[in-house]
Amino acid sequence: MPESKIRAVRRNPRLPELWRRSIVLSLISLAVLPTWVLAKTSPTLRLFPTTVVESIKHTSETAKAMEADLQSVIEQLNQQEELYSISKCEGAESEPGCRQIAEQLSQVYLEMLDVMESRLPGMEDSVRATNTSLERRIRKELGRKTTPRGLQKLLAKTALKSSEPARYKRRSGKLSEKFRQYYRLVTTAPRTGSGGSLAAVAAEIYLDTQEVQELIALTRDEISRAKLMIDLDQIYGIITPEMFEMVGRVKTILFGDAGDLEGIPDPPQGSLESAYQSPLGM
Amino acid sequence: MIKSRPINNAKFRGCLIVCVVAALMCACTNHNYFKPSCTLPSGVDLEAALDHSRADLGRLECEQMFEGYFDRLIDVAKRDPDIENRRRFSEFLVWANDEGIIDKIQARNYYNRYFNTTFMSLPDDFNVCSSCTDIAKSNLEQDLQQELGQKEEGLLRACQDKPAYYAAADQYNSILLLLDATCTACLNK
Repeated sequence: MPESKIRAVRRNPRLPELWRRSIVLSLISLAVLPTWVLAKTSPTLRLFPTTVVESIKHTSETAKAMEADLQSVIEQLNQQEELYSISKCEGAESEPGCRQIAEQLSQVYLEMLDVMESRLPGMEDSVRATNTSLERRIRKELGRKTTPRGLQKLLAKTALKSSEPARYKRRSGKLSEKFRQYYRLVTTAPRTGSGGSLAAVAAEIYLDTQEVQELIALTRDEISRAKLMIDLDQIYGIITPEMFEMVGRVKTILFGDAGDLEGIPDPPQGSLESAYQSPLGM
Repeated sequence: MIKSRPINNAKFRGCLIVCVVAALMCACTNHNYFKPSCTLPSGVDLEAALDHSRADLGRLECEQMFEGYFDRLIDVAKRDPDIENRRRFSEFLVWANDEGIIDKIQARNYYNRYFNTTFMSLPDDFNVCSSCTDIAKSNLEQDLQQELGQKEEGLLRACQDKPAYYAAADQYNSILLLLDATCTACLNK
């Protein structure tokens, strides 16, 4: 203890007691303050409990594994499809060269179906789990606990990106990457207290998983049909429009829709805070 | 005496008719009585249009035309855009409420529909799930779209407050997204 403090203690024997109390008080306030701050800033909505977050993470990983498996097959299919088209084989299927390309294309197509068939159930389970848990949360937190006006109040608390699409439209981009981004968003957003944007993220993931589920169901039906046709030895070596449709659908699931998203223009620079506040404002 | 009475009566009647006609003629020349007192504002000067509306709406016979006056004032404001128009309209609506022309709920409704990002079409009485029937959702979406149009007139055209209008448009898009997702979840029980 420094000399001056020792002297001060000698002058006033109650000082150590005061220090102890002040230290205890500081520790209590340090312990209580973050809780109070968190209570002020953290969202009251419980849209992303651990199970949902883990489910999103798992979907991202499953999608990544499926993409890795399918990447080379789809590239091969693209090349052969291009070769088939460049060689002007449509309408000239009986030509030996065209027949050879068609056979190769069919083999790769079959390979793709096999990969899809082995990977889709896992993917479907994972997407369904995310969808179901989110659906339950959205119904409870946004559907039953919130009024329509309450939805806007949630959004008003947080500034969202200015170029949101007018209606939900599946965003382009890899499925795994998208879920990875979702995962990152839901694991970091609660710390910033952005309940409104969390609700929007939950809505987007939910609608996305809904659509992916529908696409997966369609694709599985199509795979069964295509496999049956191959078993019956009817299309082996024959290029059908359904094959190209199937490849397109697989690409949609994994890599999203192509095409630009329309949005409203970005707002010009300026602050809303300086705007006039009316006594009638709500 | 007895004979002169009918003559007196006739004179009296004549005088009475003349007086009534004179009184009617005087009344006809009274500007205040026959002037069409409720004339909707026009022009390109919002302050003048607001003064004109205050003067007219101060008279009992014009009160019921408040909505027409308000619509016309928005038109004038669009031809005289200024960020201060938001304040002018707010003051006008507060005045109309103070004068008893409109109630507080109506005043808030007018102001927020045109000059604020809050969507008054969104109900605040029941939960979201109860607005998810096909008809209720469709009506709500129509109302929201109409209100976005009113905000475009008020915030964007009359006040040239682009940031506020774009914030409202952003929120409109996000509300539709949230409604879509929530209603899907509510209906998938």
